Amino acid sequence: MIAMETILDVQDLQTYYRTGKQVVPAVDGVSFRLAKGEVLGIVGESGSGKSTVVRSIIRLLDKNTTRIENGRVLFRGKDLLKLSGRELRGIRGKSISMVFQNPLSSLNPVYTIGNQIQEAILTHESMSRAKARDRALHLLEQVEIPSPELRLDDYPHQLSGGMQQRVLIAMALACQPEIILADEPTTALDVTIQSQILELLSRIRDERNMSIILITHNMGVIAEMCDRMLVMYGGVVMEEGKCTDVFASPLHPYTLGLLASIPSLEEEKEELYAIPGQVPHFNAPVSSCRFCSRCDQVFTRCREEEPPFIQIGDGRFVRCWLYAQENETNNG
Amino acid sequence: MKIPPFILFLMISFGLIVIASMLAPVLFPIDLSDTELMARFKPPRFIDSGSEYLFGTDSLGRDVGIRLLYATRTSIFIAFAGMVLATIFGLIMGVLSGLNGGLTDLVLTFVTDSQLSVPTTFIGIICATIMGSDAITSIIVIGVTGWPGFARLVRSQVIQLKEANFVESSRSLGATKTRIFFEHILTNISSPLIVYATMNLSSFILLESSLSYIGLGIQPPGTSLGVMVSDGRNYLLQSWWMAIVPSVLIVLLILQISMIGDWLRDKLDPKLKNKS
Repeated sequence: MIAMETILDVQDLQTYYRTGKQVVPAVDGVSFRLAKGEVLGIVGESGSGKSTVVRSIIRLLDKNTTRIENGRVLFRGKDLLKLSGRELRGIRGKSISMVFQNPLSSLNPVYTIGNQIQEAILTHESMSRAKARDRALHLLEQVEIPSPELRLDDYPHQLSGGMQQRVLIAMALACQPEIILADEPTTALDVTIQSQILELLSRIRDERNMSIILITHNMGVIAEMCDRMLVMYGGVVMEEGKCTDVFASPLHPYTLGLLASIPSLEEEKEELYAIPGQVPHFNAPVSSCRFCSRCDQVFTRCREEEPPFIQIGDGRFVRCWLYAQENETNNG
Repeated sequence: MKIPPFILFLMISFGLIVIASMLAPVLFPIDLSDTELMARFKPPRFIDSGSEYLFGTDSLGRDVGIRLLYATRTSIFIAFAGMVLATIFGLIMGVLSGLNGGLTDLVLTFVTDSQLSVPTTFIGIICATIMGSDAITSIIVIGVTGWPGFARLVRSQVIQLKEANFVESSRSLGATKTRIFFEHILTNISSPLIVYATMNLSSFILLESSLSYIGLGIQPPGTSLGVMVSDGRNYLLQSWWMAIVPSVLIVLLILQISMIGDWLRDKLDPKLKNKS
């Protein structure tokens, strides 16, 4: 885990939504690095900006409402945010692919799955149809779909949710990408299928030394899969660190709240803990801690100034005034 | 695909009518302007079993049965050609408006809605005045009055589909816009479009008949179902078959097409398909 090669470097990414006159800072200055072979988890509530971060990386955003205002996304020395449409399409699916949340609706109902996997291959590589079909068959084997030669000619609706997600993963793997962006890949699936899909992703990561960015709102999924994690809230990263460290000693009150909301099997509780309130709407620029309205340890400074991203240890950061006293110099 | 016997019956009977009418010039090679004044107003065989004319004759002694075939041929041809024109034009307008959105969408939607507010007969009169009354004019009138429905359907489908997850998924895999349009959007529009076109074919047959009936469509000695009904109008009391026989055929054609279209809609609806 020491001195791994950085494959993706996101620097001060800002992505804003514009709805009418309102400007919503969906992602407001997010920076992180992804190492080769690493699984990075991004966790947060709905509306925390985690999906937008990942979509910004390959610019899979609605042009009419969303703009990347600032930042750099360095992949192999190239800034993905400055690529032309053509260059970007060469990256999408070839070097960086994405796995989505809703497997059924992410597949076109009018084509067989074999057809769709072949298209994913032929988009980036020129080969005969027959060869592409062989590769598609091989991919289905890799994602552990039983009797793949029969499934190849099935339509998406004929498969179960877990199988559909495996097909999507096969499509994402079609051109052997270096990074997979998984946007809540298991949210639509039931728990047993969930763990199977996670195991599959882990196995593929190990075999191919791929990097994965895994978005989820499930702390359990992070604990099972990830090496490092980011906790996002209101468009910024609140806490960053190795999963073992964050789970052992969470720093930010928000992370504490998230961990406290996980139901435990040992304790018998009448009511599940939940962080009070909802994610508020922000308007740029923000001049307070974004979590202050819901924080149980809030004090005056939190409402007056946005806390910087404070380094606590090796690769361990937190955005909270509680930790500012000792370490005033850092700025994020 | 399993076709219920009733639908199969409708399809076969519709097919027979179409084939018979298309073969009319081969089966009964007559000159449409030929008259036989000695054989005026001969009753059809289902009234007078001794009659030599199956559907009787008209005011100029022409065989109603044979003319019926020629008329159906013209009517179906015009309705079909008009439908193709309306579909293509509506498809282009709907795609442009749905894909681009913004100002283009606003303008095209306004044009579509304005078009719908102009009465069909008015369009018919204008077109007939400018271009004269013939088959081409009828086709154009049908195309011009028919496209807004297609455009609306296509627009709503395109707007839905361009946000579809599988389109996004395909974008994330590096597909180009053209490719996404032809592979993901157009293919998914095609089945509702086919259903809509089928359902509309019947109303286009009716429209063609109405145009000819008021004298804006096919001109004598040519004939269409509307022309025949119009011709028979003056003799409704003494020789009612002249108007009733073509009217019944119009009703039959429309019923057949509508029912086949209904069945097609249920069959091709992707939401219903998933359940089976």
